[in-house]
This record gives sequence, C-alpha cells and structure tokens, in this order.
Amino acid sequence: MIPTRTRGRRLVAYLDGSDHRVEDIGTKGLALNLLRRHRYPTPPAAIVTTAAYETALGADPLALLVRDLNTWSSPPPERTEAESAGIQRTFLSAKISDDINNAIDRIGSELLDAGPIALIVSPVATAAAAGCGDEPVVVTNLADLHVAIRRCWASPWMAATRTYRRRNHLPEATAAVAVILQVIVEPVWSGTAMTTDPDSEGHLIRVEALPGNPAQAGLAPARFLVRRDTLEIVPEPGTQHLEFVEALARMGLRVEQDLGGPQQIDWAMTQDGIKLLTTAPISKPPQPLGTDDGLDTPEPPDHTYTPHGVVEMIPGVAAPLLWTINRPMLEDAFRTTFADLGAQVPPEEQPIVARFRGRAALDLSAICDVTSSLPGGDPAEVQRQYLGEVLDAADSTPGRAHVATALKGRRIHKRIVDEVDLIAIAADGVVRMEIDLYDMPVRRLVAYRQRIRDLAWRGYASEVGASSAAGATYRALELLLQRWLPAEEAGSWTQMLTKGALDQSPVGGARARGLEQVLDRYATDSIRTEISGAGDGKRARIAQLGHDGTRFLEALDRAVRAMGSKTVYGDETWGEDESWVWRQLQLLTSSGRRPTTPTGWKDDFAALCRHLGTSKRWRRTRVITGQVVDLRVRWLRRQVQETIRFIELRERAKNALLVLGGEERRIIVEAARRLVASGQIPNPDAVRFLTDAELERMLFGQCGIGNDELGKRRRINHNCATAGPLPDWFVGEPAAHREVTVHESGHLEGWAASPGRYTGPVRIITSLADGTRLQPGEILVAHSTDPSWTPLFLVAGAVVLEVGGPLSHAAIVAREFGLPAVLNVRGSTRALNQGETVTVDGNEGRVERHDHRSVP
Amino acid sequence: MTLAVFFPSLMGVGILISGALLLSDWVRRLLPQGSVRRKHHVVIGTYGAIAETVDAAGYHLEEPWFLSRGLRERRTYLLLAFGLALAGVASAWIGIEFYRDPLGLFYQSPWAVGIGYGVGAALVLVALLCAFLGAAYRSSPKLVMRLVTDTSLGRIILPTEEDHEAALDNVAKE
Repeated sequence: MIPTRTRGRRLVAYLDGSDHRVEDIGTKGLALNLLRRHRYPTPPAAIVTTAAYETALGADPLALLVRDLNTWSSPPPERTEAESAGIQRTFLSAKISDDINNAIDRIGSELLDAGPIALIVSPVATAAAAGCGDEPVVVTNLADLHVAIRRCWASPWMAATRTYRRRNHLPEATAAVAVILQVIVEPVWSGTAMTTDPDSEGHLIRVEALPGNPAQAGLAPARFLVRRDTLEIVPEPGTQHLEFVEALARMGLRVEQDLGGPQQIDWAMTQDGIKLLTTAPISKPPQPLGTDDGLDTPEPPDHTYTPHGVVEMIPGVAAPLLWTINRPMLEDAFRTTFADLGAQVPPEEQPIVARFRGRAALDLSAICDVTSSLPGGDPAEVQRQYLGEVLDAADSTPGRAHVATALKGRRIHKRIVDEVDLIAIAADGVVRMEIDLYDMPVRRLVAYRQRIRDLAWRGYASEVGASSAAGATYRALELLLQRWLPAEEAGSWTQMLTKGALDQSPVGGARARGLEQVLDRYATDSIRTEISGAGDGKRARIAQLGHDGTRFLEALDRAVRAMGSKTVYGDETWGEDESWVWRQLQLLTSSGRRPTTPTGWKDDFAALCRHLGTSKRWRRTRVITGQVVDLRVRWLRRQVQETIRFIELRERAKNALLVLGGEERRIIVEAARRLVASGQIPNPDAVRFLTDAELERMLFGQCGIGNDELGKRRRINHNCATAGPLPDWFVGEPAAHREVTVHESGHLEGWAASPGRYTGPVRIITSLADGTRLQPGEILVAHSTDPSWTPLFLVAGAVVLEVGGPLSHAAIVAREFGLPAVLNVRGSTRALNQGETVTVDGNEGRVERHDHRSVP
Repeated sequence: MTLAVFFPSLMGVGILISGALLLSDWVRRLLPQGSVRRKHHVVIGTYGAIAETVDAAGYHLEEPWFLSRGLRERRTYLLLAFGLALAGVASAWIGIEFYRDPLGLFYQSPWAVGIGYGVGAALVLVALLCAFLGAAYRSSPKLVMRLVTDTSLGRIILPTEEDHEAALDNVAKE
C-alpha cells in the first residue's frame, strides 16, 4: 500500500469533482475540480497538492535554502540568472521523501497511460506566484515528470518571483503551489472563451479560436462575438464560420452560472467534441481600451494617408518597441532624402510616417507636396506609384525640370550607391563576428545597440533613397516603352526586363538559396539522411559526423545569421527557432525545390528589340535619322540597366537593414532575458510593449513599468490586430478596415506582379513562425513579405499578397523564381480559406476561386 | 530643296553621334577602373563603421592591410621618374625661354623664371623620389613607404571576397 497522505492531508489527488480546499490544490486546481464536479467535459487530471510541496520544503536541504532565500535581498540583474540556476539545481538534486515520490509515480503512471501530460502550476494565491510560469510543461515519461514537478516547486523561489512578492508586500507563506497534471488532448481547434467580452458593454461573449494547438505562436486567432441573450454570432467581415462556436458559448454561460461569475475558459475542440481545459474568474471585467496606446498620430490633419510604401518596412501592428525604434529612423530617412533633393521638407510637427490603430501609414499629401516642389516632380505619378490610381489629377501640378536638378540627382544616386555598399558590407561584417552578449555589461550592451542603430539609421536613409530611385527609373522605363508600345504591353515588358534584377546580387533569391547552397556544397549523403529523418537532436547527430558535419553546421549557421529579422527588431528570426531551419532543409531535400537557373535580362532585351524591329515605323525612323548605332536601343538598354541597378540596390539596402535588425533583435532578446531575471517584466515577450526609452532606463534600473500597464498595452495591441489592416488610402482617421475586392464572378482581383497561372491549395501565413507550415506546392497567401520570408518562396507554388506593387520585394523575387504572383489583393487573408483550392493568374492579376460558396 | 538639305543634315548628325558613341565605348573598355578611388573610400568607411561598432561591444578589429595603398610596379616608378624629370627640366627651360623672348609677354619678367624653376624643382624632387622608390623598392625606408601607403604614389588595392573574410576574422575580444 503506497501512502498518499501526510498528517491527514493528501499528497496527490484526482481532480474528479470530489471535495478539495483551495489551500490544498490552489486556485487553478479548484476551478478545474469545479468544472469536473458540474460534469463538464474535461481531460483526465490529477494534482500534486500543496501538502506534497510543503512536505518537500519542510526537510533539508530545501528547508535551509528557502529560509535563506527569505532573508536574501534581490540579486543585481547580472547575477539573477546564475542565482536562479543554483536554486533550480538544489531543487532538482534534493532528496525528497519516498512517500511523495511513490505517490507521484502512481498517479503519474496512470495518467501517462492515457498519453502525454501537461503540468500547470496552481498557486494558492494567484498574485503570489506571478512569474511562476503560465506556460504548461509537457512530459511523456515518469522521469521527466519528477524533474518537471521539482521545477514547478522551484518557480516561486526564483529571483523574479521573490522580487514581485516583495514589491507587492505579499507574504512568503502564500507562495505554496500545487501542480496540476492534465492529459493532453489533440485539438482540431483551441482557444479561449470570455463569457463577458472586455471590449463590449457586457452583452457579448468573446470566443477566440486557432487551428490546432494554442502554442502556435504568432498566429492571430479568429475572433467571434456571440450575443449573450440569443447566442447569435455577430457577423464580422472575413470571419469564417465554425460550427461549434454557439455550443461553446452556451457552455460558457453555464460555467459562469455554476461557478458564480464571468469566466475566462481555455478550451479545445477535439474529434470527441469540446473539452474545457481550465477556467479562471474575470474578477474585474476590464474596461474597453480601444486601439490607441498613446503612440498613434494625434488628430491627423485633413491629409491623405496610405499604408503602401511603409508596410514592408513596419509591417502589421507595430508594438511600442518596434514603433519607437523604427519610426524616428524612417521619418529621418524621408526628410533626409527630401532635403538632399532640395525639396521643401514638411515642418517637424507634421510627421510623414504616421500611426493609426497601431499600424504605420505615410502622409501621402505631404509626399505629393514635396514632389510638387521638386523640379520635374509629378504628384500624380507619386499617387500612381503608391496606390495604382490617381486620386486628384486636377490638383496635380508637376514641378518644372531643369538641368541642375538632373545633375543633382546623379550626384545623389552615386552617394546612395556608395552608402548602400558601405552599409551592406558593414552589416554582414558585424553580424559575422558573433559578438557574445550573454556576459556583456549593461553599459556595453546599450552602447553596442546604439552603434547598430547608427548603422541602421544610415541604412534606412539609403533604403528610402534607393527605393525612390528604383521607383522613378522603373516608371521611366515603362513610360519610355509606351512611346512605341501600348500601355499594357509596355508594363509587361518592364516586368520581364527587370525580373533578373537580383541574379548577380548577394541578396534576393540568391540569399533565399543560402540554405540550398549549404545543402548543395556541404551536405554529404549521411547528413542528408539525418536531415530527412524525423525527431529532434539533428544538430547533435550531424555534429557527430566528424569534419563534414562540423563544416556543414558552420555554413548553416552563417546562412541563418545572414537571413536577419523582419525590420529592425521585428519578428522572430530563423536563428531563434532552429526547428524552422531543419524543417525548411527537410523540404528542400525532398521534392519541393525550385529550378536554380538564373534568368537574366539580356535575352528578354534582345526579344524586345526583335519585337520593336518588326515595326515599320521603328525601322523607318532609324534610317531617316542616320542611326548607324541605334540610339533608341542604347537609350533603352541604359534605362533597363539603371532600373535593375536601383532595384538591386534597394534590395541590398533592405537586406542590410534586416541583418542589422536581426542583431538588434538579439540584443533586445538578451535585454529581455535580463529584465525577466530581475523581475522587471513577467516574460520575455513583454519587452515588445516597452518603448525604446523605457527599455533603456529599465536596463539601468532607472524606471519600472507595472504588469498592469504592460497588460493594458498588450490588450490594446491585440485590439489593433483584431481591427484589421488600414484602408488603401484614407483622409483623417481611417475607416474600419480594407474592403475585399471581389469580382462579380467571386474572384479576387489585384495587381499582376509576376506572370503565369497556378492552381493549388491556399496556405495563409501570418508570421515567419507560421510560414514553416507551408507545404511544397501550396499558394502562399499573406499580408506582405520581406527578404526574411524569401526561403518560403522556394517551396511555394504561387504568391498572393494583400499589399505591394511591381517593385515590392515579393514581386521581384516571384519574377526571379518564375512564380505567378498577384499583389494588392485587398482582404485576401480574410476572404480565402485555409486549404481552399484557387487558381492564381499572374497575367490578369486575378485569384480564381473554385468554390464560390466559400466567399464570405 | 528642303528635303535635299534637311535629311542629309539629320543623317549627318546621326552618323556623327553614332561615331562619338562608338569612340566613347572604346575608351570605356580601355579604362574600366574609373570608380576605383570611390570604391576605396567606401571600403575605408565600411571598416571604420565596423571597427566603431564592435569596439562599443568590447571587441577590437585589426586594421585590414588593404586599407593602405600598395607599391606600384618598379618600372612604373622608373618611368615616372624619367617623365617627371623631363617635365621638370622642360619647365625650367620654358621659363628661361619666356624670359629671353623679346617679343613675348614675359620678356625679362622674373616671375617667368621663378615659376619655371619652382615647378621644375618640384617635379625633379618627385622624380628623384620615384627614382629612389624604383631603385630601393620594397627596402625603401619607412618614411618613404608612408608616402606610398598614404598618397597617390601608391596603388589602390580593392579587396576580394576572400580578403574581406580574412579581415573580418581578425577580431579579438578586449
């Protein structure tokens, strides 16, 4: 008989609805037990009670350690990591009574028979265990279970948690924790349900759902609002229908009634129906927060704004850190470019780069005004380039051109070329050195970050300059061709002539092929076998393959580092989650590789010349004007070369920024680690909700931002994400969101960015992390992309994006890879369904849906 | 009449421009290194930026060898020495001729002799330096070598990809 009690208290217990006290099983355990008591469908669960925890901590060496910790002051940030590691070591190695171990063995083995189990810390007083880790730990065997339970017990004693208790004057006695062991279910959908939506006036239930496991970071959940009185789903554009939402809402209302107040319920929809995983009371329903965190542009003047032209630089909702890092650099880059051109720069108090609902937009009116003040500048042309249409042709007054401006333009172009060269080599050089940040003193860390920022600052300036030069030369080529060809034909030829812009460049497709090149050059048969195999630990196994393995891993690390991050401190990088890289390599070693022959523009140019030569008018003009050397061909060739040169430069500048962004992100991840260790933020992700200045002050211990404030910012950020992208253009405050451009036939329409037709299943990708789910041959549907996404183009069958124009990164790379692409398809990520079969027509700029009923 | 004049003249202009373009193409092919100096400036700026950045993080980047100029070929220095010496002597001789020419603007003007001698002396001095460099070449004293690495006496070296890689590996933690 194995004892499962100590001094009359149970060491372990099933959460089966029987009587338990909160002192024994903690708040989360109690809520789960109540769900069970009221016969809600929950996965089998048990609990290691606070009695087991208290017994374990009542004996040396843990008793001694806890007594000491109660008297210690908080360690300085640089020592917290080491101290926490020491505490964990002591917990893991401490001798714990056989009674507890046997009780855990018994209950653990019974649960493990049903499958892997998740461990959730259930504190007696929720606040006292803040920072104990909300993320469940998953185990599959008894040995891991023991280790995981000890880690859970150690969590209230980590420096961050102790600091939090002291700051909030909470007694150490409330630190007791129980540990819930819950069998993991395989969800088809999962998410949370709030029986009172925090952003409504209490008459709606909010259900958020994600396909698969909720741990899929980066995915924006589908949101459903259900009326509490009628259980009707409030229709929202672009939201797909899920059958079970109504049943879930009904169940949520019953839980609220049974548990006596509004609840936030974690749920999973399995093959066997809905399962409730945990629930927690919404003690004080939060007030609606709206979408402004104080960083949005206040009271915009009656100017026209557009997200086009900035969305690739600051994509999606820009959290405070991302915004406060990038905006000043981008604003300065625009102003510097305008000043260099001798234009009238708008006053400082009128921002060119604005922010609405957390998303970046450009002041198109200001840019048009600047263009008007430039000799030869045409505001209508600017509008056409940004929006694909002219909004107010009548107001468009082109500036007068003269020779001095042309010469100035040449000088600026030369400077941009030099500056891009400098930044590109410097960025690669710095990142290559693999600066060790872990032990770096804070002062050096901040100084290093500032230097990286200085380079990025210059990078932004050259990127904006190169972008405008690329746009201008591209349009000039198009207009030049329009002298001899109809407008549509001229547009297609311009696309074809610039499709090889990155062939000889170290960026663009070549960079995407970094992983491919590593495979081709360094992967032996045994390395390929390891890559194709299933399971973790591939790095370790390849490292054991001797010299070949080491060489391969070194080359792989170099290629991954060069992939950078989305914007300066944006999304996660390829280097942060190695599983993405292995998955991508696995795809590349299997069938999904794209042919690697560079296209080049010379063949297309020769074809164009032959095409033009068939025209009698073209031939006659040459004879009459005595052109032994055809001046028009030379003129065209020069224009093509110039356009290609600036497109390549723009991509190189963009890429340098991403590489620097990756390095800045590495620094910020390190800073976040230190802030978590010192208890200043609850988890590393919270660093996104600090401003740049706050982050720096917190690193020096000069200020603190409360968890409430961080939570508020997180909710506002979430509201912004839910509010959807900005319209293509708007005057003053933006409307709700962009409308979906649906043709009468049900097809979606956009810009033809890369020719060809392709039929395949849709894969909607919202982040780089999400991108690794893309299967060979699937159609990549996203809001926008940047060079860090380019490896995904190697396996995609076609590309559909919500924003972008002929010079977008996606358009350039798609043309280079020969992928059909349609860009600027408004609302495509909401209108198309995951897995739906569509045909992408890159010639006509159309996405044809085969099942019209699925149009929302 | 109009056609007889207009078309031939239009064709004539076209033929002339074509000729000029062919000539400029030929010159460009012969002198493809026009932007070397600019590229060198970019390389210097790049390594300055890298060194500053890693220095903030407590790392030290050795100055790459290719930031300094290198020796030109020995025969180039000897040819330069000969040419400059010739130009120096010619300058002095022209100055004297101007001074002596009773019909010239500078007849008996000491400025003509002074400038001729001054320029001549400067050219001869550089010619001597070049001759010395041609003779001593790699074993020239440090001061002379400094002139080579820092002035146009030396040749600009643009680094290859491998040079860049080697230079970037030359970093140490302080």
